[in-house]
Amino acid sequence: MMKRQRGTSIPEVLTVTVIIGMLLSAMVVIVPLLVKSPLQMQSQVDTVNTAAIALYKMRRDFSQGDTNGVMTCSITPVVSCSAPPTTATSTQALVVVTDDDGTGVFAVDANGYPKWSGVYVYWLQLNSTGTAYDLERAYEPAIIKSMNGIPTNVDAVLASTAVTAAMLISPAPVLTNNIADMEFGVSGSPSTINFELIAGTIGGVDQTQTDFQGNTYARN
Amino acid sequence: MQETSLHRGILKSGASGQRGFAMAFVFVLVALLLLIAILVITGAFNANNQAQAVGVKYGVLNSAEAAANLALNRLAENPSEPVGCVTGSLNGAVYRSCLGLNNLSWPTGRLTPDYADPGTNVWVPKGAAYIYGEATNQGSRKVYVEAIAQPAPPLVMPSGAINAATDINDLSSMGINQDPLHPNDATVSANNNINVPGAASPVQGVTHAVGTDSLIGSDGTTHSGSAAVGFPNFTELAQAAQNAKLTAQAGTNLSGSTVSSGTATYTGNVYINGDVNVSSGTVTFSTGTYVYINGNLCISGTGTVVNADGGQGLMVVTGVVSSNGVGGYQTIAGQDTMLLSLASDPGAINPCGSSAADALSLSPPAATVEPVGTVYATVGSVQLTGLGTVQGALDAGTNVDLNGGPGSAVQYDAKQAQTTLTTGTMTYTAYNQN
Repeated sequence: MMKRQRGTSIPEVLTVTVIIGMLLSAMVVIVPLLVKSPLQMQSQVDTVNTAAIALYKMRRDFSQGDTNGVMTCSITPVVSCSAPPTTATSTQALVVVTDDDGTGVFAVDANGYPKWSGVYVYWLQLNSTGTAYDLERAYEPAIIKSMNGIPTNVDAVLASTAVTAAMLISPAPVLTNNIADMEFGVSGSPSTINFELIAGTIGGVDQTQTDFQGNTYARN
Repeated sequence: MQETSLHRGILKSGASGQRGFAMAFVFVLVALLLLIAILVITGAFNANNQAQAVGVKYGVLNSAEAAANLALNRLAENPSEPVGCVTGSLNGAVYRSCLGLNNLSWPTGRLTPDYADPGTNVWVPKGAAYIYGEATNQGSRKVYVEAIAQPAPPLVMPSGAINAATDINDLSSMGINQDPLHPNDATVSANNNINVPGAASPVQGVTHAVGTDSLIGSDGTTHSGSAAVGFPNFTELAQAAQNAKLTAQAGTNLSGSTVSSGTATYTGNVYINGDVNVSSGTVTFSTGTYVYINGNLCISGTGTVVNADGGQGLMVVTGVVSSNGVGGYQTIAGQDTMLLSLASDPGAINPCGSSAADALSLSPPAATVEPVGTVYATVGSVQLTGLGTVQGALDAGTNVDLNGGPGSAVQYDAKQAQTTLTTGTMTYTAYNQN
């Protein structure tokens, strides 16, 4: 014969209710955070990775360039270029001489020096939401004079012309998104190009920033 | 009985419903937790993979660059290095370090296949080489670094009669004279101060000091706050010394005592192990390019050491140099030879037994003119005493101390402005990453 079961008392019911309520409240708070966390992590990795890959390309261009063939530029209100500072300083655009017209062919002159064919232009363009910059990169052909492989005419005029032409390219040749700042400088001995990309957003919209710094000896 | 059965039935069905609800609740809870765990783990895993992929990309590039640098070093160590590759691994990326074409001693330029861009050729001028490094991580896309390499340009010494990396101390009045063919070309430069504690020396050239210049030059004034003159750096000097050592060792090898024994003429490149003490007779070096003395060079009494090697003849002394007496150290006037001391200042006890506290000291006797070419104490000081004239140029890694007696002088030899140092290293003249 089955034993008669006792009902639950009011304190028991209240205790269980309170515990379940606390658990559910905690889950309401924690679960969205946990669900959002991988997305945030992925977003940060995407930001970091695209900047890292952009930096990889910049490093390549600087290595193949020459410290006598780089210029730093401001693009607002008008394009204006000058010789780069000795320490890495924030810049809106930069120009680096190149012997690579985009085909990857190793172009050498009769004396074994680079056959300079133009410049690569890097510049920052505010994105559509105004929260960060897109980093653009374009090749601009130019007549580069040189002596013993050292470019002699990469000056403010040539650089400004190249930057102006590059900025007219449509659609814009975006290299990477979500850049907060770009810094650039050249030290003379040894011939070293110092550069830095800050991945993230601007204006305090998102405080997460990651700095990438390179220090590339310009080989040519 | 009827009522009892009904009551039991209600109780049974009520207990079963509670258990079902609890199980369903637990299942949902567990499923939710599992889902969250999977999301978190997957996200972290993906992020980690992507971060690693970027790291691998940089690792492969660095490996390819290292491979190209390795080929460059092989070529510097052996200019006759044959075409071919060596393999290795860096950052987990396997590399091949290759010499594609060695054209260093070929009389003309040549085309060679561009290994990074099949179907195209690279022009390799005479006196150059085509090298490349390739790297890949577990069969991923290969990264190529290719370059044209040529011998590094020689190091250029500062021009002018006297150059010091720190101070020039004009301790006694002695002539600092121009080259007879070039008026007022005996420039004097210090990267710190030019000090004149007593009577100033007359100078047939302009004086410059980065700090305070107290010596009036031929323009009737001083030039404090001038730009510094450039000296070869430590690495470049080490490379130049190593190049001289290796080249000299490939020539005649002698002991210091053999060379110290008296009059003799040694031809070609000469390596001398041990101190050279010449107190009588004339020791002549000729028809070579390098003399390397692994020890001190001490010349005294009637001893003479003549560096008659051809243009750019370089004598490297790892220890101190002390030249005094009737003969002393001499070169052929008008040749841009160089005497290099790698020693720091000896202080109170000079290994040569002289009283000179400087690494390189010259003390010509009265009424003599000793052509010395360019003398350079790389990390020490140069001291000039005696009563005669030194013809050439004086360079010091620290101070130049001018303390000659009455009638003494430094006469600049303008030919020394062309003096250079060969490092024996290779450098990239063109570089491409693909």
